[in-house]
Order: sequence, then structure tokens, then C-alpha cells
Amino acid sequence: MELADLTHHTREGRAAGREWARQLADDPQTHARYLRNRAALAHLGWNPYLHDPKLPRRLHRVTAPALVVWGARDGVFPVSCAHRWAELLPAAELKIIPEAGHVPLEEQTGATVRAVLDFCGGN
Amino acid sequence: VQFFGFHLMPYPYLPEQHRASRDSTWVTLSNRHFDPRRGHELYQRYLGELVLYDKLGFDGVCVNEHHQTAYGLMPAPNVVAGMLVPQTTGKIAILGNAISLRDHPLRIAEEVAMLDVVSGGRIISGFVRGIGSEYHTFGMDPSQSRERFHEAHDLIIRAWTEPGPFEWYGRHFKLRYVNPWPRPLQQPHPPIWSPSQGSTETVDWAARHRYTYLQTFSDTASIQRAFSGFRDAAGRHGYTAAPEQLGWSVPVYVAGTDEEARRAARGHLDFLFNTLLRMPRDMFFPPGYLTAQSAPRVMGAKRGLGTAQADPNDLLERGFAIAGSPESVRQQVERYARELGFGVFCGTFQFGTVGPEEFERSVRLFAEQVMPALRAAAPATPAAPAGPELPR
Repeated sequence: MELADLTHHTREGRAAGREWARQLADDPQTHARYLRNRAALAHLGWNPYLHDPKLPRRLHRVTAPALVVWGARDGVFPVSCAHRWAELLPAAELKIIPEAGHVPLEEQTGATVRAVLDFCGGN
Repeated sequence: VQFFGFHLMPYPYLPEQHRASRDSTWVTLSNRHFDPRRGHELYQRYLGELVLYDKLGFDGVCVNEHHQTAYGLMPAPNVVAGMLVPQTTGKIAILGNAISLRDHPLRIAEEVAMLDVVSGGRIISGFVRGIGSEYHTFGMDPSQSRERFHEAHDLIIRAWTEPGPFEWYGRHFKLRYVNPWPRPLQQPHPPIWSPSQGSTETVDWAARHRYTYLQTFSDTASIQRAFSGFRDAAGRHGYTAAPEQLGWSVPVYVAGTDEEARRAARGHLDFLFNTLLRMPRDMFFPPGYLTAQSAPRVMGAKRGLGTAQADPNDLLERGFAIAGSPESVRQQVERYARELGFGVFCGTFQFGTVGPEEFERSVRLFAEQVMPALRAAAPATPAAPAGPELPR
């Protein structure tokens, strides 16, 4: 399975993801930047691995209104994570974007932007 | 050429289901597949095999450190070295302590100094970062690996060479009192070896410190590149690299005839490369483990290693391993020594599924019919430029 199959849900999204991975191997500069980004990710999220076990005990303190936007077909962090966030944040609104994977902004740009604008009270 | 006997202490009793799968043999292979009773028998046998190297006249024996894997049962190399001290008379090379992974480098300074004093100065101290998978094992940030390695190394060397107590306030380690008892017997400190997968930074680092650079699991073309990189680096640092500073670690199998040796070696190499070394690429090279500068070179040299099916014939062809009759092994080692210019040869006679009888036969044939010829033929080599004295 390729990374694009996890990060993207739609056929176009996956194709774009694969194309990006192909170009990555071809261009040394892009590849070097990719390696630096991965190193930064490890530096920030290696242990505990990409999550903060203290969050469930702390999120109740957030009083500000919050919007949780999640791709319904996220293959990296399953949609159950979104429900848990919405449950733990006292004033959260949950918006699940259909037909989207880990990057809803790329795959369902319109729906994602609308969700954010609605939340911010725009139009 | 100096000859060392290496041992991987593999755990060969893996279920057929695992062998046939593409699952990792590192980190996630459940330890319910480790049977402690069989483990007991293996350790007895393996320690005996290491002692056999010494009895048969190898210059030294080599142990190493790996974690959460059937590839090798030596998570604590200093413990294995400690068991070997009273049973051997030659050198004991610890290849090496993964100093980036340990909570505290002073522990290593203490343990290696103890071993050196008890053994009468027979310890060679290898320092490594630990392989990528081990950053998963210990939840250690791989992007800090190189930095921790350098600071731990600098601290250990200073602890061995500068009378304590002194203070150390580094980025990763902070100490009001550095003053380890005992100090090592070899002065100024035990010889340092740098086993590596060929990253530019490590090659340069080892050359700068005038250490011995040891390359493992590579084809001869990659070794050639790393060795000439080392010679160039030595030149940049103002000296000529001695052959004793270049080591080659390679699986070896000797039998009566070429045919017999190659046939048997193929099976063991298949298990070593296609089962024991198997892990996903992201586990082998976690993010930040290699610098952007080194990534293409190391990943090129290691292409497919552990992640793709290796053909044992191809491995033998490209110099990942040596197999043959005593005469043909002698010719191969001689030719490689001439072409690559190494002064340290670490033969790994125990790899994969090598049984006790064939191990002993292979090592005896090498010690009795290969080593003496190569020792006699070896040209006089200049002494290492800054190597500490080795009392024997």
C-alpha cells in the first residue's frame, strides 16, 4: 500500500499523491526538503508517538468555541478521533467531510472552506 | 591483516508462517516466539563458539548490540564481553555500544573501563548510534541521534583521559561530577572502532579521530567507496590512513569444496538477509536518522537490504558474503585485501541458521588453512598513527 492510499480517498487525490511521491524521488532539492520535514516531525512527535496522552485530561479547560473538521475516510487518523475531540472539547462543533481522506482541504476544498466560514459566521 | 571472529547470536527457531510473510523481524515480532529453554541452549553453544575463535588463534572476537529482534540475542554487549573475559586470551571487540541509545554515557565509560581493567587491556571499544529500528525500540528521537552520539563520545573519552572530578554541562547530559572509577587500563584509552553503514559524516568523524572504520553488510563496490572516502578524509585531516584503520565485516562459510560451501551458505544467507534482516524501510531509516546529505549514499548502499528479497547467489557475487573451499576463500580474501586495502578482517561465521558442526568445521578450516597463508603473505603495514598501546 502506498502512502497516497492512506492520505487520500478520491481517485484524483490518490493520483495526485502518487505523482507528488514520484516527483519527490526525481528532484534532489524537494527530496532534501521532504527529509528535513520528516526529521522535524520526528523531533516533535516521536515520543509519545504523534499524540499527547495528557490531552484528554486537559481539553475540558478550553472554553472557546471550537470546530473539528475531519475527512470521513481518513486513513491516517480514523474518524473516531474526531468524535473523541468533539466529545472532550466543551464547546465543539463537529464537521465530518464526506468523500475526503486525511487532507479534506485538498480533496473537498469547497465543503471544507464552507465549514470554516460557517463556523466563523462568514458567508 | 588481523583476523577477528564475529558472531551474531541469531535465533533460528522462527515459525514458518513468519518466514513466509513480509512481517518485520525487528521491534514488532512478538517475543512469544522466543523460547527461553532453547535460548539457554543457544547461549551455551554461542558462547562456546566465540571461545573457539580465540582458541584457534583469531586475534580477537567481536560482539555487538541489537534490540527486540531474532537477528541477534545480544542486547547487552558488555554482559557478553564480561562472560568472555575469563574464557579468552585475545582481544574482545565490542562493536559497539550504541551510545546514543543509553540513558547515560557514564554507564558505558564505567562498564568498558571495568572490562578493560579486568581483561588486562584486551578491550576494543566500538561506538555506534544503533540502527534505525532501535529508535523505535527505545522511543528515542532519531533526529537527535547524531548529536547524542557525539556528545556521549566526547564525554566518555574525556572521562577516560582527564583526571576527575570535573563538570560536564552539555546539551543532553549535565553532570556536576564526572569521576568514574575504574579508569581503563589501556592508555590513553582502549582503541575505538567505528562500525558504520557508510554515512559521509561517520566516515569523516572516524578519520578525524584516527579511529578504525569498520563497514558491515555492503557489497564490495560500496566498501570501496567508503574506504576511499576514509582515506580522503584522513588526508584532509593531515595524515595517511593505515590499513589497520580499515575493517571489513563479512559473513564467511568454508567447507571442503566450493560447491558444498556455496550450497550451504546460500540457505543460511537466505535466512539472514530475507528473514533476520527483514524490516520495513521506514523502520530501518526513521525520519531524521540520516542527514539529507548522507541519505542518498547510505540508502543506495543498502538498497533492498532488509526490505526486498535478496538472491543469495547475487549476494555472494557482489561480495556481501564469502563462501568456498579453503583455497578459494584464501584467494578471495587476498584479492579483496589487495583491492580494498583493509587491515582488519571480521569474519562472521555464525549467521542465519549455521549449525554447530558446520560452524566448527568452517572456522577450523579458516583458522588452519586460510589465516596462516594470509598472515605469511601480508606485506608489512605501517603502524596506526595514533593507536594506543595494546598490552597482550
